[in-house]
Amino acid sequence: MKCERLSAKAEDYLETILRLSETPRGARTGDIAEALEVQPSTVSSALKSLKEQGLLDYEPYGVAGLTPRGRRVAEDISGRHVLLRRFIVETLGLTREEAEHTACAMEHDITPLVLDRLALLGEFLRGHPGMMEKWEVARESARGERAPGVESGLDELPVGVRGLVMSVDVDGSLRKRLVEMGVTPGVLIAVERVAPLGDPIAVEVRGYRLSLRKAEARRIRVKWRPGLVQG
Amino acid sequence: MSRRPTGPSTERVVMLAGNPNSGKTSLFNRMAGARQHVGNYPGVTVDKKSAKVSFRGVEFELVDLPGVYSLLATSPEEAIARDEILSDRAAVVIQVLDATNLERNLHLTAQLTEMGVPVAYALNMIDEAEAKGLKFDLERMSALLGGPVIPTNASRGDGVPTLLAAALDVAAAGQACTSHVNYGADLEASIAAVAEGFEGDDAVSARRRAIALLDGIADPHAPPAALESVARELNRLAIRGGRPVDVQMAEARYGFALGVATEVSASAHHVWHDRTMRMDSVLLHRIWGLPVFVALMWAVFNLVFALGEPPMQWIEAGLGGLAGWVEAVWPAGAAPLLRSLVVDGVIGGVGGVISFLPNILLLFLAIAFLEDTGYMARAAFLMDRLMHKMGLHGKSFIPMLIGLGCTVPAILATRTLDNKRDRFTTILVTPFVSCGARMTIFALLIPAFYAPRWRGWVLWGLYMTGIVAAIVVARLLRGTLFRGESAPFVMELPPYRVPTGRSVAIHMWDRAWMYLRKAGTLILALSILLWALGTFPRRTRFTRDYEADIAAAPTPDARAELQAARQAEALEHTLVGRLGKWMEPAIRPLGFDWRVGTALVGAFAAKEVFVAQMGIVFSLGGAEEEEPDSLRRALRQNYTPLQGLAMMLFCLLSAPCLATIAVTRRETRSWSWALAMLVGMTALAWGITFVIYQSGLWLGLGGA
Repeated sequence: MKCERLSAKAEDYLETILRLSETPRGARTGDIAEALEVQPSTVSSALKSLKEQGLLDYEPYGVAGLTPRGRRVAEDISGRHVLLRRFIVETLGLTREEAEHTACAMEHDITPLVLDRLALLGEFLRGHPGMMEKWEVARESARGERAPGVESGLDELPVGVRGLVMSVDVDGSLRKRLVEMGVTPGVLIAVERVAPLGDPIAVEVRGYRLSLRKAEARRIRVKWRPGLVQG
Repeated sequence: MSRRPTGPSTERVVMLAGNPNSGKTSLFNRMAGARQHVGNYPGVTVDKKSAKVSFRGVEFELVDLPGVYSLLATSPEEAIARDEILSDRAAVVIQVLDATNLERNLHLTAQLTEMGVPVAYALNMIDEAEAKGLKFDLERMSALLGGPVIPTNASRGDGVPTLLAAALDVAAAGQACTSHVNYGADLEASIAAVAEGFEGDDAVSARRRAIALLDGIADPHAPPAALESVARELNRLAIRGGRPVDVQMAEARYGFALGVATEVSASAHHVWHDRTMRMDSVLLHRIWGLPVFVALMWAVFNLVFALGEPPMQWIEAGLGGLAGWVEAVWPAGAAPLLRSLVVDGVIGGVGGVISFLPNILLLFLAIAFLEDTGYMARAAFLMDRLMHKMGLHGKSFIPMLIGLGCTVPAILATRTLDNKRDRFTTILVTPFVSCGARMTIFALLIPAFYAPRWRGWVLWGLYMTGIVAAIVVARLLRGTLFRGESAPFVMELPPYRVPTGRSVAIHMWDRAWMYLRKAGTLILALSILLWALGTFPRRTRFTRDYEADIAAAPTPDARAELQAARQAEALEHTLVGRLGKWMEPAIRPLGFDWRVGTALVGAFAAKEVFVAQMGIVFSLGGAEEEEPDSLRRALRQNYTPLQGLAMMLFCLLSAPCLATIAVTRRETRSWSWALAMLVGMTALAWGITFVIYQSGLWLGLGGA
């Protein structure tokens, strides 16, 4: 693939200069070095190279200022950074540190189309609270206190998360009824909703909907299977 | 392989089997049209629908088996479906499969193929499945299922003639279904071992009975050899499989179902019902679900009672006109007793039956609509928590709501409850919910005894008392007579579907006709009996010569007064009057005298008769409608507010009207439940009224 773009390093410089130039002090070599955790001498040579590419107005020991072209590049890269960080924090539900770190790495290589789609996905989920809720549950169950593979009663399975039926620990006619309705060990099951009064619950199993009381659901053991339910 | 005689049999029965909501009944309606007959299977309250059908010159009987998920015979419906299929009468069993949910439907097929009968399949709702992009390999499917598979659309009637032709071909061939489930090496070995014990049986029946035993279904006729080996095999399988044997069997059947479903339909084999999802997210919404439910129930209640009111009045007016006409054309003085029988007994009794008809038709219309759309299951889902606390089922809610209007349709509405315990409990407590007729009593008595600012509270208190009584009695019944594990609430939430007008109409008419035929005749007979009690013995000698006095009366008012006095004296002399007097010692502790007793006996015909009877015994004629105030004045002069309260309480809780008793008798199929209701409620009413009245007296509230 042909790749006409600045090096990741150069983009980092431009982004940092953009950020610093919005402070009253302006972008100075020492501050740039500190922000990027490099030696001031390295900064000087890098700035020189950027100036040669027409991205920067810079005199040694002075304040670095972006040329219009440099500003456009810097703003673009900074926009990508912000978008990625936001996606990681808000949509993926990860920490700020994690987001900052990953965004710094991804902003250079991500293609505009992929970035666009990520942004669209984030927006879509924010615009559909029901979907967001389901996604959050799926996300939390994937990495929350209940790690994937945790077993519980069906009544504790969060809405929208799949579970694998491990056993049906009831006796007599109720067990017969449950298994003949298709709740057998090894089948995938998901809680679709809880009744407004808190009981019973509606589950999706074998392509149809079944309702049962929590007291009975408790005795159906399921292994959590993180991941969204279709629909 | 086949155990049935080949060739045409004299009695051909084509049976329709299938899951609930598979469209089985619509298909039946399509095939049977208006010729269908609704009856009951002996001893149970499960409808038996059948029809004589003639198709291309072949006459046969078509039977709609109860909708079931399994043939294990763990519920009355399953037992009936199984027994009917095994009864040797089935020339062919057509299983109706919901093409949008093949997997679960095929679980029943797995059991059906073991029955040793010729089978055919209707792949129903094919339109819906195809619209969602599902495609089926019909040839492969019939090879796997051992019978022809015909795609149908029951609500439009597509494919029905093809289905019937294919089914009759199968019936004529008389070849039992040859497909069967392979349960896997372990289970198959056990099945074979147990089947060996059934020596007298052929291979198909031995296998079927062995499977039933391994499923844990008792078989009273099983030979000892089979019972011995089943105990051994169950033990072995439970240890090897690590889970109960019936679970392993169900897994194997679902394995078959899933296998067939994936093999015959190219991509997915489920239809994802987006529309149902969307509708549920509103109708079962955490916040909006209940308000929507309340609004819908309000609409149902109003549909049944408000819309039913005008036709009810037309019927009553029509019957009133008829009675007037009979009186007018009846030769004066000729056979007065017969005239009274016709006018008061027969016409009154018929009125008692058919004046309910508008309400009942509308109720069944509403229920048919709720059931056919799929909302009925949602109503139960929404209300189950509340009703479960009362010891009832989510589906008990609608009957109790209808009970606020009239107990008779309410008891008929309990038909939606599948479980006998839940259903009987609901039937027995619904009469406590104060009905519209009792309202007429309250409307007379409350203003007679209480100041305006207390009236609302008294009325509210009475309704609450009824509801609390229903709850307490329901819990009591569940703890005693109907003890046992509460019915599991494991219920399908079917996809929402648009009901066809045809199926709703047939559904409604079936039930209404059943009411007319079964409960109607009983109500009529009891009404005539009650008429006789209120007429005989007839008084021939009065304390004064009313005829002469009336003729000599100076004003119309005086004449009316004399008429009323004569009527009161006549009533006192009849069995009803005597019953009232005879009851007096029993009802004295409740604060009632013989006049109230007489009115209570009359109220048994219909609660609102209480008001009319009180009017008669107070010599005001039956004029309660024109002059309720004079009756109220008379009541105020004769009784204290405490006695008034006692009367209302007793009317609320005591023996329901005879129509309720008749309907209870019909719906429970036993006089003992109907009489238990009558006696139990009256005893409870007596006890509570006694406690309230006596403690009222003790507190010094006996004064006016």
